[in-house]
Amino acid sequence: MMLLVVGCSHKTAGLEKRELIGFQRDELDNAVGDVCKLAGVQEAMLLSTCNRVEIYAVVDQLHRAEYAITEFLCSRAGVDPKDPDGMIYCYSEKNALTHIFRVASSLDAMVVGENQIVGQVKEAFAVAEKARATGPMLRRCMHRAFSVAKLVRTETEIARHPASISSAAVDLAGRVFEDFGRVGVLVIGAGEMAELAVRHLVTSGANRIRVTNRNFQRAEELSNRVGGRAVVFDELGSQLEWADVVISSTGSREPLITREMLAEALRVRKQRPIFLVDIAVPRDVDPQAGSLANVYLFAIDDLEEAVAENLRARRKEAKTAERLVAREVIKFETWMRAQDAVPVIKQLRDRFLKIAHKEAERTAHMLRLDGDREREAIDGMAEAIVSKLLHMPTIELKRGVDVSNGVDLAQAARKLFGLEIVEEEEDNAESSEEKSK
Amino acid sequence: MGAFFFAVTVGLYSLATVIYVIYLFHRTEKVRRFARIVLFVSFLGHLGLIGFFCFQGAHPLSGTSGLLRFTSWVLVGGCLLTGLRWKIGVLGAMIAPLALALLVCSYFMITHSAAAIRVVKFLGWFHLVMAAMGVAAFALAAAVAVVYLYQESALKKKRLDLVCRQTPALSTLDDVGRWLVLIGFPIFTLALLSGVLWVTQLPKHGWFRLEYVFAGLSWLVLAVLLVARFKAGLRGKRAAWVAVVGFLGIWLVLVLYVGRKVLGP
Repeated sequence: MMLLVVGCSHKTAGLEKRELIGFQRDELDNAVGDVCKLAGVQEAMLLSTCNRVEIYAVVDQLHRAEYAITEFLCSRAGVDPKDPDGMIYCYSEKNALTHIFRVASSLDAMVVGENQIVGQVKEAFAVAEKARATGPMLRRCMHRAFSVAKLVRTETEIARHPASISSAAVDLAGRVFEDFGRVGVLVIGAGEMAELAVRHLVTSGANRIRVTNRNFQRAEELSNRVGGRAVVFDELGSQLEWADVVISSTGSREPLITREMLAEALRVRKQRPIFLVDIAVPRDVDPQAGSLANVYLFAIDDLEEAVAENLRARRKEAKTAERLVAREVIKFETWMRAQDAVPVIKQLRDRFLKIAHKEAERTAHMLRLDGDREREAIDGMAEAIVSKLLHMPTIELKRGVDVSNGVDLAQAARKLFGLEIVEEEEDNAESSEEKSK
Repeated sequence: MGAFFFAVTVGLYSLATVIYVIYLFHRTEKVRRFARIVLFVSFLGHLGLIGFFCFQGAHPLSGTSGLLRFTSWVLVGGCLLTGLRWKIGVLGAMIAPLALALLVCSYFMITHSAAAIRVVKFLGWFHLVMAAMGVAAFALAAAVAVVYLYQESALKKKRLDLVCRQTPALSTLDDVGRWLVLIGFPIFTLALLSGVLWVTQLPKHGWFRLEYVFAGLSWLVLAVLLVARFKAGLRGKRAAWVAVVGFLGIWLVLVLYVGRKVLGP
């Protein structure tokens, strides 16, 4: 059984093609069932987001399954599966595992480190589970992928640097004010960007929000949406004395907040710092105001530079994350092979002990040994012989999983000793593992 | 044996300094925690060193070397205590080398200073303890002020690549500085008063000494800072600069005092 990934992403297919190939939420149940019916496919899940459409499958016939899944996807976009023009990529075994771990850890995302993808992958997996399209191998793989994604987020700073204008603005405000629950936020204008920024602030704990706009009704609408209150536009000057964070995004041709207004507000505020985000073009805040002490003014250009800086930092962190993923892939592969070896070791031991006990019984009977002590001694000797004989094979079977020399010792042992692959036992172990989680 | 304790303590402080310098360029939580652990171990080693001298029969504050040893120990203790409440990793990068420098200086004081001062009077050792704690508190306040000034400058100039994400926000740094001055000022006042009372009891002791003048001036600067902070709302960059100036004054007092002991009147 092998792991296979077939799909397309923003890196290989344009938006139009991805729109054709992509699946709506209500199509996923049937689609994943259809994938499972394809030649060679044993287990499957389907991930369909705005940036990628991928099928993760466990297959027993690699090339047949690869072609069948490619054809399945290409038929939706009207593309020849024999010549998908670089749109479709295929990964198998270790490469497939690496790709799945990288996608879940947002290393393959359009914005590296974005935090939506792991939720989308979890949702896709849940849909596949519900449609009974998953099996033990895919389950193990995906559970480990989610653990790796969490590890990447905690061990690296890949997600800590904000990658949007509004989140960058809030992040910068956080460099001045520790506790957003204690700051006053003034929003000037009722546009989308201003609303995004204020929503980020609300998520970060801000709860004292005032909204002002020339159109009072729009100010009221926005204030209702963000849990604040509307104030009349004429009170702008006095509101600066109250507000610690000001977000401005209006269509005004002239600056609304002048240097003098801020100087006066600072005097009344006794020099308490004030943080201004001016997202408007032309600017709402006089740039000269930024030179005042205790005034921190950031315009749209500054925020774009902040985002660019953050993306550079994320890409730097991505290198650490890639090394972490590579390490986890090796660990998982080793673990998988060890899992294969454990039932074989158990079966070998059971088989040998059964034979040893039978022979010990026969010998005790031949020697007419009736005492418990004598029988125990014979049994003990038989078990000791079995343990000593199996000692090296057990070590090699376990160690053998680290050596990628093309020899699968577990399979060889099965063949040599005529052991059966006990699938029921594996499924039972899997389901008890699931229940304990 | 004393040399062994000393060497171990100096070695540990040196290691802490190196790790904190690494932290300045590689600011991860792991490095910060490791540096803090090493600093704590250094603090314990330092306590062992002071304890050794006590065990030998010397008062912990005896002589200039004892004072410097004790001051550097209190400084590190204050840094660790501050770190319990606020994660200001870069603080250690300033305090560890300062403590190391004071400790190394204390070693050289052993050979150059006269016979250890027999600090028999309560006022004498009380003054020295308060002075050491005052120096430590204002050193920490100045270090926090330096961190504030750095962050503030980076934000003001929009040098976002220089802004340290691992440091608390400016509002918190300002609060920490305020608290340290609030704690340090009464201690320093007690040091000053007890010093004046102690000196009056010493025979043939001159009043005009540079360190006394600077001590008085520093006290005045810090008193003004305190009143301005709490009454006039002085905060931020200006408050940080005043804290730095006040500490430099106190530092000068210490330098003059040690210099007098080494070089004579």
